[in-house]
Amino acid sequence: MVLWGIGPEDSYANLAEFQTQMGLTFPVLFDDGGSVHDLYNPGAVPTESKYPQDWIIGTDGRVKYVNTLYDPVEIRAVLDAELAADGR
Amino acid sequence: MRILAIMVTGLGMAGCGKDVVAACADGFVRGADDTCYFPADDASDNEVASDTADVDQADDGDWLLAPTQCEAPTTLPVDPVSQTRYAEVEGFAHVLDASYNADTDHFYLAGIPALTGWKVTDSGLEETVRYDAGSTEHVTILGPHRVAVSRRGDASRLGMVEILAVDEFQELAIIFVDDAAGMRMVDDRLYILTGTGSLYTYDLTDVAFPIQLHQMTGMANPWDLEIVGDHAYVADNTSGLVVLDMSNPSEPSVVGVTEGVGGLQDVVVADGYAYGAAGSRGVEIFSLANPAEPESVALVDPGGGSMSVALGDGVLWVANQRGVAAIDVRDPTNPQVMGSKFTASWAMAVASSGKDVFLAGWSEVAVYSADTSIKAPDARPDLSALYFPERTTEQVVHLQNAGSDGLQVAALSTDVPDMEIRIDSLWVEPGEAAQIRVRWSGTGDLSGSLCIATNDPDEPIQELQILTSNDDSSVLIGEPAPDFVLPGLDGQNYTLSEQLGQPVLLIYFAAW
Repeated sequence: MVLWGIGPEDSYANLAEFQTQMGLTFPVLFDDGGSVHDLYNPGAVPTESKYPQDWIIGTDGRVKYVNTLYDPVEIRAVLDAELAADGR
Repeated sequence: MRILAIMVTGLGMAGCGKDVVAACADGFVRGADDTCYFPADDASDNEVASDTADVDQADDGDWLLAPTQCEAPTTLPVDPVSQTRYAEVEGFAHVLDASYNADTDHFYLAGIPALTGWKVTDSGLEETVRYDAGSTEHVTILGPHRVAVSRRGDASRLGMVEILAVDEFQELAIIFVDDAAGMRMVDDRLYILTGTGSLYTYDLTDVAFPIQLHQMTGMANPWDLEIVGDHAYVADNTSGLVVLDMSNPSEPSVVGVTEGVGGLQDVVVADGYAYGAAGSRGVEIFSLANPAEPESVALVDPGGGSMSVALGDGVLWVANQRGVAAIDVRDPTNPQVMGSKFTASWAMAVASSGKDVFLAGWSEVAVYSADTSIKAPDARPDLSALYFPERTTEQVVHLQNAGSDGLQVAALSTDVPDMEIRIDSLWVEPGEAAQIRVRWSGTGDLSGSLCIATNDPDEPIQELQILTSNDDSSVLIGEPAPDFVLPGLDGQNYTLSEQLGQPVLLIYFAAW
């Protein structure tokens, strides 16, 4: 499976600092201007959206899950189902 | 820290997923369907344990049926932790720090996009002053009617510390310090940490004309500090607790660093002990019997990610993202979690006036009190909803007792047909957790709730939603994921559509 962090911090430097501070070892992507936010939150105002948002894209490329509450049990359940289905 | 926590738990807890972890977790067995199950004892399947005697006799591995009348027990213990005041914060994207000023009897909140001042009134909390400063990170009290607020800055914006008169937040002076973090004022000197590992000393004898006296370098990633006597204690998010010799207040120097296993994000010091907020590890308590060589005497985890700590009367308060927790630290070597309260938004900072404890979340402020003479259980399900996505027939809820007295599970019920609910123990000691197993043998879409009745004094009835998928989501569930290409901080481009065939977990975080 793949894990990406995405940040719309107001500058690349801020996001880089965030990555260093938090010790993040997975890829952290810079969503300049929040364009990916807008794709995944149609019609929403970025500053009024809740964060962090967890998204799971299934093996078939479809959205399986989204939540703005940290909930590892749900994430596990969805990922388990995806992994079991695909044998990865 | 919260992103890291998601990564660690999100993957580390995938104990039963095929090929995620090869072996089942301890005590679980792999079933014919290749899923890990807790071994159920058929002989006990029809056992209904309705009192503690049955539970005491139950062997490990028994799954019990609980009474199904989901009603609160008629008598409940008194709650040792209570919220006394609450207010929503308008227009905040992010609260990051809070400090209390005794002279104005105000709490001050730093965050994005403003600095605000809050008065605790008889009936509530009142925002009395606001300064639209943009992104502010730390706020500290300089003395009567003065605060300093820091911002990190970047290529397009200068890092600085602003010194403000609090009544209208008039600006008195600006100190340009790149990457400014936590600050403390002692006598006429202001000490400013920077994210790059420096401690600046400024003379504020004339507050309008700060004079830099010294710059000490060499720390890793300091976030905040406390100064007591001749020593300063720095919460360093890489090194842990860093001790500085302040006997020459104009020229601090490092004299000790704890041999910790992780960093600290906040620290408070009182009566010979330092209390450090250690993120997902909880709170680490250090004896300062030898001030230059702090010795770890206790590590206590109130859940969540401990971000910020404050001391009340014998009580350590912790903002741990999910809420606020109270820990009895009358004996600092034997801390006891008293209880905690969830917040609607991410709980980021606590500050104490000695009398009141003030909690700041992203969109709320509240005041709490605690009574160390009272013990009570605190029921904490580890999730707020049960999801049964496609191909899922079983979920397990961990019901933690985050309180200080035994938790009795009085009933478990659901309005969903074809749902079997069992629990491994109806009695949960403080700090322990029971597992609630929910199995579904039906088909189609799910919609209902799981009701948990306990002797938790403030929430005797808790309802977890049961859903097929996340109902709270946007229109996109089940739809093709919008493709994107984004640059990574490592310089590579990342394309979603290239990942087709494997699941992708995206964690979108923000600090507008």
